Amino acid sequence: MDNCITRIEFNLGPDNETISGQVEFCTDGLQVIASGKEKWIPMEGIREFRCDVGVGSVTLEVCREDGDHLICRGTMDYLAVFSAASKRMNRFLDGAVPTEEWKQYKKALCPKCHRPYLPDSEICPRCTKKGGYLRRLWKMAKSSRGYIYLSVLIFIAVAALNLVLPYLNRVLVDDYIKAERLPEASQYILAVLMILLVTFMVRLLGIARSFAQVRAGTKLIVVLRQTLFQKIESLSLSKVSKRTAGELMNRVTQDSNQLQDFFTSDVGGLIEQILTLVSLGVILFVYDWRLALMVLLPAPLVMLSHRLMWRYLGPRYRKQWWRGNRLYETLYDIFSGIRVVKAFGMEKKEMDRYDTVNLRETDVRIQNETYFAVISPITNFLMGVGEFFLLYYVGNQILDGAMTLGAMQQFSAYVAMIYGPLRWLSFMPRRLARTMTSLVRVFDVLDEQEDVADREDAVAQTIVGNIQLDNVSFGYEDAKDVLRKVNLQINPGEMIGIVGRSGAGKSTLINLVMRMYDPDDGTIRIDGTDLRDIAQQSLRSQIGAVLQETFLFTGTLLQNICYSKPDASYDEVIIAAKLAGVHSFAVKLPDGYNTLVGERGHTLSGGERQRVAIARALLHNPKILILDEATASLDTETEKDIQDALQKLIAGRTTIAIAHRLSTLRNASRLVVLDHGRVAEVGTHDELLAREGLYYELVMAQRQMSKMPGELETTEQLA
Amino acid sequence: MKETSQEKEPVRKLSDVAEIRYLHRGNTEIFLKNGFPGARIQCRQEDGSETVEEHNRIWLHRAFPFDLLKEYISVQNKDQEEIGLIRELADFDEDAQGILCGALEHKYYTPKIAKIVSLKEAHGYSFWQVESDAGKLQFTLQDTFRSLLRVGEDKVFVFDNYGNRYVIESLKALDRRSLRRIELYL
Repeated sequence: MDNCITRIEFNLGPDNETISGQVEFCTDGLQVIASGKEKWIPMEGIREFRCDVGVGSVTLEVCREDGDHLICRGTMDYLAVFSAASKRMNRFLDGAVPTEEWKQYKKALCPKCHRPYLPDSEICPRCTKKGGYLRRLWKMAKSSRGYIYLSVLIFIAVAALNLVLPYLNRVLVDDYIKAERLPEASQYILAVLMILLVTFMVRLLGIARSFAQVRAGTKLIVVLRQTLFQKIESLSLSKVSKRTAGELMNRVTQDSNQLQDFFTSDVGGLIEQILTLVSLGVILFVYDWRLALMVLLPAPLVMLSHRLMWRYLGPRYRKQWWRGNRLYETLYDIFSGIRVVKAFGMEKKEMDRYDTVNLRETDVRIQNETYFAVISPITNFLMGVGEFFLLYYVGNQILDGAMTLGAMQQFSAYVAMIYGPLRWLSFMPRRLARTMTSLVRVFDVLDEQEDVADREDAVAQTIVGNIQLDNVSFGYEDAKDVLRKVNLQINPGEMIGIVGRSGAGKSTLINLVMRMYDPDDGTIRIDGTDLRDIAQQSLRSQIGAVLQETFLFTGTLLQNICYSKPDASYDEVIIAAKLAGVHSFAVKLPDGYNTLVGERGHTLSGGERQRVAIARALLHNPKILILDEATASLDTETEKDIQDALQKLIAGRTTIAIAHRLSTLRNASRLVVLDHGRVAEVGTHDELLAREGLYYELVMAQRQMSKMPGELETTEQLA
Repeated sequence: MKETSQEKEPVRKLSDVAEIRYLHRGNTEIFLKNGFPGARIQCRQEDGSETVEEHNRIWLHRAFPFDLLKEYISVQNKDQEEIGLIRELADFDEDAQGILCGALEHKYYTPKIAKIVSLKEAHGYSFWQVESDAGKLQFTLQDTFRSLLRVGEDKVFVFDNYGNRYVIESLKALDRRSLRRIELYL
């Protein structure tokens, strides 16, 4: 249809049956087609589209005058599709003009294997080709390629020398030890020296190989970690917070280690083993094809038995690892909460809990050891079967005088050598799988779209402090829009208080002003320039933020205050600290400003931490100041002190402040009341009270609360 | 020493303090509007008079979704505020139970796995093909061990990488092959 805005598919029917349906969203209504039936929902009267996320399913609905109506339902894989459609349609209701981009709808399933893509991506974990990733990694290894080539060359040399050794041994036995006439001593010594030299060379090359590997590895891992780290830092907050800190750390450290191992030892090893295998095969065939067949025929069996053994044992060992992990977690949990355990007298219960987990781990360990004890000798025996054939054949040959003792020794050595690569190669799929997992995880981060990237022509700009929001709409990646059509004009030097219930979009609004995200619709301008045209570095260097959760880095008090201005003088630090109320407690500490704080340092109280954050913001001397519940977690008295400190900070700067405790905003020039993502009211405290709207309700609700002891002061301030 | 004579306040029961509004057939009428559940709740005011609170649409939320499927259902309005608690669905007549059950089954869509046809692991993911009451399904788990939740000895919930849920009602009832496939991860 020409007037089609967007369309989606869905997969659940009214009775939870699996169906294949489609909805076409047109300018005049929605066409729902499922199980051969069609339904038309006219656009007239629709107030809102809603994506209702259940626990195992998601529903797309419309809200009309006469209540809510169902459009369609789907399993959770359809969440992204439904959510995008509802956001687009709400924007359409708000008057936005549909674009061509809206028409393109994402498929939730991989067209090849019909499995869902990984969430928020179009990567099918099963069908994505991994070869491309390897090529890209190889490109990244540019600086270490020389060492990688070198180590591969050494691998080849070692393989060749290893082949020479049995030959030299044979010469020693046949030509000298079992020689028909007595050899000259000098020749004999020469042969021994040759063996010595080759052995020495192998060791020497081994050292050189380790050297090359370490160099290649270190260079690669440095590049890889740098790239990953830079990428993660450049991603927007929403993309970063999709993954936990632990997961990101894992990708930067563990996964990059795995890739380093692969390039530095597995690739070389693979070449060495293949070369050894091929050259041994050729030597054996050239000498005696029957002998070669006898040795090589059991080879597939050997590889197969080895693969089977690990296919069987591998998951069992993983289970053991998992149970061990649980054991560790339980122990950590109990020890961290030991005060609670003792306070409730739960020692016995915790002991039982630990015993259960411990026994479960032991059970699987015993089981695995037993399996291994039984299986391993059998496979080892199978691997050695070829050697028995060989012994029989070679024995006959020697008895017949067709083969010398030295030749037999040489071939026994080759046969023993040929099984090494076979065993090694049978492990290769496992190593490759592990590497591929890491590759996918690393490139999953590297391929993440930078959604808040700097434009090429973005400029550094000195900010005066005029902020303007025009029809700004925004929603996170989940179901609904958090802000809808927000219009707001903030003048330089003005203090704006943002109030509203939880989830009204207050924090989202300031996140947008700080450009942690870009609006989906509309524009934000600072001094008339679109936020997207200002270089992020320049923008953020002129915005200061004091947030509810104050994070102090591990370091000294001084370092934490200086975080925003590393080159600040001692005088500047003390002035900022004095204004923020840090100085008074800092000078009482034995180590003063050099006191170690943060994770492993001196524990500061909530109020003290908050003051450090304010000192940090003061020192930064920002043009625009953001206060997000800066004093919410403090007691009334501390709050008052900090409010006074903040007042000094605010003077003359454009300030946007969020506070639940409305008294905190008593000095605001204007208050903006947000309700369900829209600006409901704007005005001064008195104007809004007189209007008796939403703000009035909030004030009254807090008055009720404030009747509780200790909060009386707030009521007085509000009245 | 003289003991201070202080009148002791009796210790109040937690249930007296908590003020939970239980909904049942005596105070609540459940109805269906445009296919969604709604509720009419009779409220007794402080002065003894009765008023009726009408909710055109209610949302149901299981308080113990892994243990109790038909008990302790929180009834919420569109702002996700609780307007009452259903102790058990049997507190309502059959029609109302039908409406509530239907809404719960919609929200907590959880196919029951009858057979695990194939379970393969690759690149850190596990790929499942199962037969369920919703037909043949295939899904992917990221970190298999953490995606399975054993409830009691016999019941297992499976969470795929999208947040879909599946349940194996009874491990004992599984065929030997299926059990062997999943056993490694339990």
